[in-house]
Amino acid sequence: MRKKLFILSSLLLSCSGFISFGQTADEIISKYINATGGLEKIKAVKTEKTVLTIETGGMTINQTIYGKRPNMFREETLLQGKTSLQIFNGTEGWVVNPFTGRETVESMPEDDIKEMKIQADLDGELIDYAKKGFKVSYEGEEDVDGAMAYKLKLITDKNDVTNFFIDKETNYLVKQSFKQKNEDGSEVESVVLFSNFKTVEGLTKPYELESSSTYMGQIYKTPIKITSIEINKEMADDLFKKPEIKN
Amino acid sequence: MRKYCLLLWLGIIIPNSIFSQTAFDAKIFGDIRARHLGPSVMSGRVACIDGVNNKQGILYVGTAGGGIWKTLDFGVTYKPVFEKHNQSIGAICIDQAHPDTIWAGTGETWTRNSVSVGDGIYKSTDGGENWKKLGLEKTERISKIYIHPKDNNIVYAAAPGALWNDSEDRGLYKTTDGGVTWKKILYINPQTGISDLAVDPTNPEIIYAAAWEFRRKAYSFNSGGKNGGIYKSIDGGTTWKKLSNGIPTGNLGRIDLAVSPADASVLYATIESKETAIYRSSDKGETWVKTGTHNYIIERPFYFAKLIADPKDPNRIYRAGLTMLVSTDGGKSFTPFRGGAHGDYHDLWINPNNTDNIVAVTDGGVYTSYDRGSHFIQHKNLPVGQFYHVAFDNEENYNVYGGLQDNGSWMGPSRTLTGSISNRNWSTVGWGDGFWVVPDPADNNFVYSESQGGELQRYNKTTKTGKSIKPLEMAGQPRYRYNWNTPICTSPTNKNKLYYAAQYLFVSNNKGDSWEKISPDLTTNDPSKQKQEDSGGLTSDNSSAENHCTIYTISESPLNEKIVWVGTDDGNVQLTKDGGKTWSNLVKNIKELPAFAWVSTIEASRFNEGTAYVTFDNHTQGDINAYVYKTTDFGLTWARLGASTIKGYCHVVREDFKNKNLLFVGSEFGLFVSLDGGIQWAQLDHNNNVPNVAIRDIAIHPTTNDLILATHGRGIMIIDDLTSIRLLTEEVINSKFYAFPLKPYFYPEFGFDAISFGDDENGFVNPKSGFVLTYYLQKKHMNGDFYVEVLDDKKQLISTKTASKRKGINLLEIDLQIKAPKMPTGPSPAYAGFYGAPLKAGNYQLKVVKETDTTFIPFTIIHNPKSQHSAADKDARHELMMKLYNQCNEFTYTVNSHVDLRDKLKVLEKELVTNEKVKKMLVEYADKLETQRKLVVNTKEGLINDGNNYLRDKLSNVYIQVVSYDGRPSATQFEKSTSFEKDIKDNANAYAAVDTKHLNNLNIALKAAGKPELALMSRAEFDKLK
Repeated sequence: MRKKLFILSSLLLSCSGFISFGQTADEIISKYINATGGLEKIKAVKTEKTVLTIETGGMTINQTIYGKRPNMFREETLLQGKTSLQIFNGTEGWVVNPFTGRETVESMPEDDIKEMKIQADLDGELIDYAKKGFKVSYEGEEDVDGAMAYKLKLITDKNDVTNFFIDKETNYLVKQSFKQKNEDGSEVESVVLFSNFKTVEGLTKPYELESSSTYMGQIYKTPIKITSIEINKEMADDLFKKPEIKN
Repeated sequence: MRKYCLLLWLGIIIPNSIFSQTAFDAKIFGDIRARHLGPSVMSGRVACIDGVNNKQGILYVGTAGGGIWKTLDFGVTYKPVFEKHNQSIGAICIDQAHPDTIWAGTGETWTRNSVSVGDGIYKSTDGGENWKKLGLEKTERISKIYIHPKDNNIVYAAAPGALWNDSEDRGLYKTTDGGVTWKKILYINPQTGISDLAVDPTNPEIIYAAAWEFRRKAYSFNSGGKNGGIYKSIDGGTTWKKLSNGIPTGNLGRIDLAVSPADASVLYATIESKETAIYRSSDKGETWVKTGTHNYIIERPFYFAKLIADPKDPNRIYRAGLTMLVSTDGGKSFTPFRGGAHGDYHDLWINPNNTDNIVAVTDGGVYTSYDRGSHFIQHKNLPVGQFYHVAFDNEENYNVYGGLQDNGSWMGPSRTLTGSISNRNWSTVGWGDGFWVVPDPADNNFVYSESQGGELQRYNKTTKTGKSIKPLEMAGQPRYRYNWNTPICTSPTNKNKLYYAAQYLFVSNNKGDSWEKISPDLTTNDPSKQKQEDSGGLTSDNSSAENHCTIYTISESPLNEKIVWVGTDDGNVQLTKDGGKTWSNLVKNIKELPAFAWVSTIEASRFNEGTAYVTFDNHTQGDINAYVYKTTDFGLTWARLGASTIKGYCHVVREDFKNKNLLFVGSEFGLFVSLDGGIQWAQLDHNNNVPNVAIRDIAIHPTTNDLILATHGRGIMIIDDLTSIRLLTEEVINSKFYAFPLKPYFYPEFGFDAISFGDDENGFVNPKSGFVLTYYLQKKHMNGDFYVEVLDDKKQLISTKTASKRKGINLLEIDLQIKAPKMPTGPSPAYAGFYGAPLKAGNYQLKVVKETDTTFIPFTIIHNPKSQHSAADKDARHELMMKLYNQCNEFTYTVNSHVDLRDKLKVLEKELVTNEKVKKMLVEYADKLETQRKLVVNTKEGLINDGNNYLRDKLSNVYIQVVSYDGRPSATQFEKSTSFEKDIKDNANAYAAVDTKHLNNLNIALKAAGKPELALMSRAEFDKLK
């Protein structure tokens, strides 16, 4: 669960941008940036706070995600009066999971730190991807729920692959798919769909997400609804420090 | 010709169609997904295997009809990785220097009668996630791939090629540019392909290739010819010489080769000839010696030929066969494997790091041994069974029945009452190769099943015994000719009537104890096609697989039992309208149809006596086109359907029983659907969880409306409840949004199995059991609100669900429950906080908001009509559940409102740090509140909590007990809830006593200190909290 939320939350923070590499891929990224609000506006984002709810069976999980340049990240998940935390200050990370029976601050595992470095990037993977050591290739058009999209394949310097799907008509990012690695090395494919785009501070953002995974050929979906996005509101650096546990 | 066809279509199809103008494609099926039932218990035929040498555990297995499966853990778990492509695999080769690069050759090369057809060679560079087709499309079969160890752009592919016809596309191919272009570097003639390839491990320029002349017809098989032999090249395939010194003379059949990785001068060959045996060369093929043989080497060399040399010991060689043989003396003598595994071995992977560890692939899946085949572990998680047919019964949670290639006849549940459908839910109802398996409509204790060549039995499910009931010819009668896959057919009009067929049609009214012949010979009875004793070529092989001039399909009209259609394997379409007294062969009326095309199904219509659908499978004459026809006038005229859109030769056509325009066709390459009586067709493909697997049979369950598929390589699949597809009328397709009618919903009642499975035994999912709103969207919904609210009968909001937004059919699962009760915070969760309360039976409605449009859809929740519990008991449960639900909330309100107050006290304590008097009051009050909380909420760290010490956990436990049982709660539970009333009240009173003692005085002091007064959170405020 922790890992799932981690991935979800990091996606919420990703906008995207580009630097020239493969011609066609860059054209698509350029269109996407324009549709999102333009590189200038994307780069002008210094802080971003997103509040969302995750709909599951009999309960609602509330989550707040904080992002601040450079590479600071905090995720609070409220459940049954307890808050679980994931915090990353740009180099170090901590995790608090109060439902393990003991409320302690644990250091974020090394693998998660690597992932967090990418996820905490307010620009998202696509912006300046070459500078970041990533590669992006255009993989052709693919259907996303009945509308055609450009598929971009991004490979990180750690060889992790994420596919980005840019809607042909609107040039919005409508889908991401990636492999989530379990501790034992096995992999689970995760897909996130984005919809209900609205403009906030000149940036186009999805306000609804659908996270899905496949088990035995059946798709299991989790809808996520964003209730608010605040951009460039004051955000204290203390939020990204190692947390202290209240008793 | 073109004009004629046009007229035919105008004349026949359009009047029968309700909408011929509205185009549709596969996107219309949206969220529809097949549910795979496996099973894996018997698995299925696996043709080849390869493993990564330097990363232990990664294996790829290529199956006969179920694609490629990858394991990362030596077979504990598997994943299919070839879903979008041809499912018949002939060869897999991993680039060991770059193990994420894998080549796959499609088209199995174990050329039995039921073998499929490949469509070229594929390459993956990402560990099997994505594949690109790189040519050789017309080779049909690829038996071996070799990647140059130093330059992986150089790849060789051996293609035995087409089985059923001459072809110039067979031979040995080489690419030097990674598959962009190919050169045929060894070609013999249109009848002779390359069955195997071996390369010198120390010098990749030295290549050995085996040439094989072979041909299968619908009624015979030949292996062997004068062009067979072994060739050698020492220049990477530029020039070749045919080896002869020590190779048997005369006609040669299938040959397989193996160079010893431990000694490159040692080369083995299994050579089918008049003296079929193992041959060995110790000088790189220049001279050969016949070393030894064994009965299992002589038997069926077209089906068993693989030779595998041990990586470390040049004298150890394995030969696949009915069982796997091993020689440890350089091929002189052979010993069969002793380990318990399905017979019919096809390939073997030897772990190069531990050669005692081998993985064998067979007609019954994959097996691992750690002692070179003395003992085996079955991989029980590879659902690649090759079903020929499927049937169902009418039990609650109906069973499906079917027979498989070399794996008998089976039955298993379409759903279970526990978590999933597992191997242990399946049971056998017949042996041998299984085909038709049909439950007796008059008595579900009996099942009619068969094995190859017409061996029919009546199986008793209770006693697990079978009685042979095959019709037998009597003195003076011609020999009865039964197909390999003989049709068993029950009557749709008379549940006591059973049909069976040889070249004659038989009927029985006493469960097969006696039979009446109701037709003359309905086949062409061509004597030239009845020489099966001569079949096999160099090695005689008469297993009944080539039996011909037989009846293959039977269909009685559901509207009139005297109308019976019969199709034969030699191309006759026969009809009787008088219960068998007279017959007409109608095939002459069918245009564009090649002569003698095999009639694979006839489907008599449920809507019109004169209407029938027929599929022809002409691949045994080298023609893989789709031939689907419809008649509406008892076969006088026929219209061809789907000729340009259905891919591959067809096995089955079925007509829906409610919508006459809804048709399904199963071909060798997938499932095709028409919504308009056959004018347009779309494939339900991997997007709908139906890979391009051969669909051999299709059934529609009359109660559940499930579409049941017999696949030849991926087991049984079910598309649950095709009602929405059935209702895709022109009006619906042209609507922007259309909600399909809701049936009254009832909560399913499940049991449980307290069994822990290992990861090596997979379960298959049950149908989704929640409440689903099914709707159609003409276009994907991208922007604006789109959600669904559940409202009660007073239009009060119960819950909200974000809508699914895809084009086509959307299946939105909506939780029909009140959100879980709030529970006080503790170190471990109170599980009641995760379980919502199911809604009471009654009237509700959905409010669908799509941007500015709002639609109200009423629906009802009813008591499960098949429940073991009475409505009164369920109402009693609901009443107690809600009482406990409210008690949880009431208790939590008391605790949490005081936790909130405590936290405020602590804030004030910091703010008034210099005001000793008030600070003391604050500390004392907070401590008292905490003392009371610790009496009712566990505050000790640790996950393990027996739940009986604190009121929070006691409430949670009893609430969950009542939620998780659908019937009347126990008297104890009722009593306990009453007892909780006192507990909750006592707790509230205790808190109130603390408040009384402290709050007023504190507020006076706070006022004096200039701070606002404190008040307890109200219940209304608490209820508003999320």
